[in-house]
Amino acid sequence: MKDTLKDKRITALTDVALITCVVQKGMADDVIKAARDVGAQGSTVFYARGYGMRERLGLLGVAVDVEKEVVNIVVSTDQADRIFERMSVAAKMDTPGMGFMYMTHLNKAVTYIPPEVLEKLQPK
Amino acid sequence: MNTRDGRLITVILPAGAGHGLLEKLVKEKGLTTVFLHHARGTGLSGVLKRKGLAQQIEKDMVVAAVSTGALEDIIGFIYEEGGVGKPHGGFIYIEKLSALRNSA
Repeated sequence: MKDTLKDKRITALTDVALITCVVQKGMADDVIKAARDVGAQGSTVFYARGYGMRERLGLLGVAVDVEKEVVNIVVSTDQADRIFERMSVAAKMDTPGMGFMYMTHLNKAVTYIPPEVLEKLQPK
Repeated sequence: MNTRDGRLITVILPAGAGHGLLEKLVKEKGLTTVFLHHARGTGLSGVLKRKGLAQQIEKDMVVAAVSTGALEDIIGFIYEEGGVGKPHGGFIYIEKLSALRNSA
């Protein structure tokens, strides 16, 4: 079996963080747009069901949709705080029941890096 | 497996590519802590990039929990066999796990 690590040099990005935002279904697009406006390059969104807040809010809970959208965005650490703040405003995190979000530091990230970009990143 | 030194590998792939990678991870690498789900992705790539428009496209996400010792080997395997090393092939990111346990 070919040893992929020895045969191929893989460049990994290390100063990266993952922002995860759980919002009610239909709100993901606003959150993604806010993140893109301040420099985020891409995102992934998937569906989930969420429990907890609806039951705690009593009558107001009827306004909280069980169906959720989970937005994941990988960002560089120097942009992370700015993007996080913008996303929290777009997701209306100051309003009870709108969702929650968190950020985790990533060990590394790997993707295809074009040779011309890689050449610019090499130390001279 | 029961460890406090694990890593969570998340792989974002074009739609349709996830199942093949999942099967390879299970059959060739013997992973049992791996799953697949679908998502939609937004990104600046392809012909729409020139117009400044981000396109939304279907994605497959493969998530695998591994021990730290196996991490480099699995990443290299995913990079090659999953096609991540090719343009628009996908994205891998790794998170540290505080605890990892499975029933196998």
